[in-house]
Amino acid sequence: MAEAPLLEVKNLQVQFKTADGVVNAVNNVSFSVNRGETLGIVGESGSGKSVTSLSIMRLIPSPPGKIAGGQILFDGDNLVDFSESEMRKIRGNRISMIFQDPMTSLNPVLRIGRQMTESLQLHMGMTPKQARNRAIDLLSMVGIPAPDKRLDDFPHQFSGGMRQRVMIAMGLACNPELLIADEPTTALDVTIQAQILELLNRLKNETGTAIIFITHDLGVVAGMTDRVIVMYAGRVVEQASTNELFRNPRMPYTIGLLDSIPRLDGIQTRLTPIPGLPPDLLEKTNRCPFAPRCDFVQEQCWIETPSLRQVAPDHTAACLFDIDRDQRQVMAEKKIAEEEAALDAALEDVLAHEQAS
Amino acid sequence: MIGFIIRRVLAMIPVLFLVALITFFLMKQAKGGPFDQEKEVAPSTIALLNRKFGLDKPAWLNTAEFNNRMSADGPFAAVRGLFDSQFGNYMLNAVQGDLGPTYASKGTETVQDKIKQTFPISLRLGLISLTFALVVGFPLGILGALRQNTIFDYFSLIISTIGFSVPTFVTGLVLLLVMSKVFGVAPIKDPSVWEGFSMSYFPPAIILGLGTMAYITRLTRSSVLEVKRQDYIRTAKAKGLGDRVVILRHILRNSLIPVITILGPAVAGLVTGSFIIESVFRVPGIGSEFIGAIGSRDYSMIMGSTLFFSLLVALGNIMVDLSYGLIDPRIRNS
Repeated sequence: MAEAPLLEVKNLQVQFKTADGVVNAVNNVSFSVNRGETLGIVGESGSGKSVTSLSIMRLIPSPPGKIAGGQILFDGDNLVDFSESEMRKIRGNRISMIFQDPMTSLNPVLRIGRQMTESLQLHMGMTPKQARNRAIDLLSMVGIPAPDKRLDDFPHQFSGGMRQRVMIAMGLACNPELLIADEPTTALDVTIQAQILELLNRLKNETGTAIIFITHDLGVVAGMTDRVIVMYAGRVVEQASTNELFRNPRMPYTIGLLDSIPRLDGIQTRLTPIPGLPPDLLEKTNRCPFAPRCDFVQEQCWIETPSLRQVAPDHTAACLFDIDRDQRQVMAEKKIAEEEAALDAALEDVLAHEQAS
Repeated sequence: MIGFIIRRVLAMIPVLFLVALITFFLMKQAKGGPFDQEKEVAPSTIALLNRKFGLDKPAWLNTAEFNNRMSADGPFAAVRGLFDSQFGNYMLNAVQGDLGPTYASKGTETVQDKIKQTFPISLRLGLISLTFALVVGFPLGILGALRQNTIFDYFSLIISTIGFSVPTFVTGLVLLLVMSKVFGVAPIKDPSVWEGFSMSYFPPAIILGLGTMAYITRLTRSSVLEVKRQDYIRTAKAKGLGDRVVILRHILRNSLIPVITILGPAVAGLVTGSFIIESVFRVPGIGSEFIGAIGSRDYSMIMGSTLFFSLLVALGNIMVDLSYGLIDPRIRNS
């Protein structure tokens, strides 16, 4: 690709100072987003997805949060070095953001119209009248009926799905080059989720905005994104095009995530959950952060933190070994068999002991 | 909306009746009467005065009159006779807007005249102290929250702790002492300064408002801190709005709601609760009048001002409930 990426995050490090010590919420994260592309960021709660996106907006609550290192290059400018007032010209204008919970993300005491027009007046220098007309267009674009009347309503007069539509309309108000959607469908029920995703897909094609789509729902990723990065414990552990990732996952964590989704194609297999909990980000270790939960774990995993390496064309994964999905079942069964054997041995031991006494 | 107001006003009636009932009962429990003097008064004189003001009648129910009229005029007149008592007659007159004569004036002045004459002074005092409490307390609380754990925050904490914990009769006396010894401007002997607004209102008003100011400061601080970490504030910042707009447009109005809640009782408290301050600064308001009335067993004055105070508190609360709707649209529609 000849064109420089729209956003390039390089070795981003974000730390939070807490009473218990420094939490390394984001460790050496690098990725890029091209113009018009949709990038998915997947990971479980606490994996650093939201912190990464808030860092791009420079909205990490500080203190206690701090961008401790790395670069965020947006259209060639390093946002980490930007002053607060320079950042304000970017926020809501060239980069905008949609948040997880539409029920709490709108100001309850201000009319929708006021909340929609404030960024238009600020960034695009519109008069109140122009801004209002633009807001009406935006609302009808996101499928809200009678937009000219709804502008004078308050957030509590909208349903959750409608509020998220308003949030999306607000996000797109100033024609941003990049839209960050932080779990935009998590708080909505399933039918509304589908509507919102459809809306986002349509708007993406209409406006050509690049989107960073943060979610923990792999199904959503499959339908929405061009490329995916998987985050675990504040690190990027796998990165590939969406097709490649689903067809050929190479990091045990990704494999675990895919194995915990039920299949609809008729093959009845038991869901295999990932055992254990994500690691405590307070401690700095030299091992693979996923090692304690990994089915493929080897001796080497406990003494070396794997970095991203090329495993296929345009596909990187942070695993020391070349593994694939089919092996997991075998490995998992082997592990269970070993555990059962150990249990049997122990039981026999106890029985023998009892007989002797 | 209109229905809401009507419902609330109607609900005041039983409240006021209960207040009257309890006040009357307590008043009757106190020993002594309105015409007791330090030197002996002839019993015949007292009997005459009691007769004049209807104090010779039974306190609650006039059963003798009931029996009399029952046999003479029938049951309807008998019921009227049953309530020909001190309490019954008082309530009948009060409903018609006549709160009775003050005994101190020997019947030449009515209680409503007295209230009309003294209440404007207390009202002025209360409004100035409320303005002070809001104008100082609200910004101090906001400052404390926005500059959390800095010197500003601690300053606001110290001011509000002092304001809240030191009683007004201490702060009032200290201020009075400073004013008279250092500046020679107190005490004020000329009562005409209290007619209309004058600078003399400020010292008592500030002392009166200290407690409310402190309370508003703390409440505003915690409210702003709460609102500051709401999701919609993050949304506002993500739009690229500057700090000033985020604070003025998005934070302040939302943090007003709990402050409004205490404003109703606070207004009533400031307007009516100035008994001590009015005595300390010798302000001829309704508070000092009330205190005087208790001492001299001026029954109708006690009843009248207590009912008036209750009315103010009840009205204050209705105003607060109405103003919620102005601030928070979610309440307006329900």
